[in-house]
Amino acid sequence: MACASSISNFLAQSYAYQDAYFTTVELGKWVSYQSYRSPYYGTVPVSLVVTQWGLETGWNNGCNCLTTYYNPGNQASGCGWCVNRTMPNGLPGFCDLSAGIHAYAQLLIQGYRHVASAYADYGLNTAAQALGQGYETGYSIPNDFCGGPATISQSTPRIWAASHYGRRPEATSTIRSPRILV
Amino acid sequence: MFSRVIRIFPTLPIFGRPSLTAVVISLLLIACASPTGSLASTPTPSEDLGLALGRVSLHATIGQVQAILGRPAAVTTSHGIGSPEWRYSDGLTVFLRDPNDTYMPNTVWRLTSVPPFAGSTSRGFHLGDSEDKFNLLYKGFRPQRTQANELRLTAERSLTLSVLFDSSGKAVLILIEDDGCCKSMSAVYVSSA
Repeated sequence: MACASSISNFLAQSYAYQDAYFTTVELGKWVSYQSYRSPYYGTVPVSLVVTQWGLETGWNNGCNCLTTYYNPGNQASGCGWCVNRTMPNGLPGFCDLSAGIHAYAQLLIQGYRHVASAYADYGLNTAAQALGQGYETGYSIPNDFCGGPATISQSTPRIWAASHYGRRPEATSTIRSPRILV
Repeated sequence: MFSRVIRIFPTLPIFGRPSLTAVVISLLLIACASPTGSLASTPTPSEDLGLALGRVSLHATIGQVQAILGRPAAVTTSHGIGSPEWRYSDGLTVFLRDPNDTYMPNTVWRLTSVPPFAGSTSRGFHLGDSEDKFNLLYKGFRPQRTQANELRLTAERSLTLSVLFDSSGKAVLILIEDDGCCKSMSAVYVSSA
């Protein structure tokens, strides 16, 4: 369990790119903005982005994934972005900060559309649940990027990590209003 | 050889019936245009790099993997992808495309090995081997030292073989992957980071 100081340090950590420095929060804001700009339904909140990065990297205590390998989410694939190294755990290290952040943004926005959809419909808790369980309860949503099932649903989930963090008991699910999916 | 050139250029209007001059010029043109010759020994196809790690290969089906290796010690999901990841007790991990993937479902796209895995790459490189042996076995390729302890070979666009070495120079991780599903980028909404 991370303490408050390690979380604060993680969020304030800065990363160099082309003579500029970006904090974790700033990078998270950029990813969130990309989801806002995208043609897909919904936006991924900054808080969920940076929390997911923190969990994946042990709040900078368990992995130098982002600082050294520019892989903020411990992504297993480069998804077409520039990869030129291998992390000690066998996952890809990106060529630079831009490649890693772009890869993460595009994967989350296009490959995990159920997360933004859940956030737009029901807020942060449901978005975190959708990320953890791999689908938005009650919906079938297309996936069109970088592996995974063609449709993300309860029967064909797209799970980020085996730990299924963020998953809540099904008993806590709320009643859903109908929505037309794009 | 001359008859072959004549067959290639049977009706050159400038020269009419090919003369010795035409043949010499043709030979020069062929020599200049051909990528072979000095580069003939440079391997690039995936067959040269090899697809195997131990007894399984990239692109093998899930059924083939199970028939060869049996059931894995642990079944989990690949980070960020959510597709099956099979871990065997001998140090081999098999990454499979999702059963519902539109591109080559249920096939191997990455293989990694860590000790005590005893298998080798297609060219016979094992964990515990040295950088010198790697360079010898893959002579003709151009390995990139992508970080202090890593050598990486790339064939075609998406096929990669990487080896991590420990401080004593012995291989501790071998990775081979074909990430070909994702090479066509579709959207970047705002280009500046």
